Amino acid sequence: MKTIAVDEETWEAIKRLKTKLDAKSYTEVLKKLIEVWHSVELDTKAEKVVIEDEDADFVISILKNKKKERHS
Amino acid sequence: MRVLPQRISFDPFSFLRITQRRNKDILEFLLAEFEIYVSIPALHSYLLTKAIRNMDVSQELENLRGIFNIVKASTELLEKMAKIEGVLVRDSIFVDFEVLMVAVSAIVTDSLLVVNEEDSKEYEPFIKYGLDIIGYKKFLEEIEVFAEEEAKKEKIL
Repeated sequence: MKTIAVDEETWEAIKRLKTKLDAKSYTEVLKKLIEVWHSVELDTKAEKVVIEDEDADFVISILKNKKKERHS
Repeated sequence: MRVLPQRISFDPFSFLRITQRRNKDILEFLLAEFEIYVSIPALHSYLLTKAIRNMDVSQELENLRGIFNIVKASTELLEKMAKIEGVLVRDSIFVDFEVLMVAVSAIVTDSLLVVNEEDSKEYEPFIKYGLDIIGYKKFLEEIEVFAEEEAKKEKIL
């Protein structure tokens, strides 16, 4: 087991979160926080690079037409 | 079911499909589990979707750089492209420049190349140079199985 130090404000917040999550330990609370952080980070990353469906479909149709022209 | 390698790259068609909004959940899973390599032709097709909308292409490129591994036109890539095409031409096999660049980008990054099934024949001449390909639909099936297995593992842990 390891010990970490947090300020009073964070301690109060993490206690409230433990109750809300009905968690058995602070390890469980931190694990949940880490899991959510990863999920949010992936969502943010994906959102940055996602393209709208109609734009993807349009450029794919251009690619297909170019290919047809090259092969005709 | 095949074991998917850590490194994945996409042809332009598959890259546009995997980055479109309807596949955002799959993209998130790929970002969590794999290293994704983007060839210049795939990158260009992606940026074209932004340029058509008159969006800031420079910013979009920066966004991509922060998330994917863009395969640069390095000395290694250019030399390998010339050498491989040289041998293919001597064997009377003529390939599109875009296909050549996508295929050799996957070879130099040692990544599994996901391709549109309709175009897979064009990539076959590169298999003997170390290219590993999988059709886009098959890839999605494999990802689904992989995601289910990962979910099971998490439950066990």
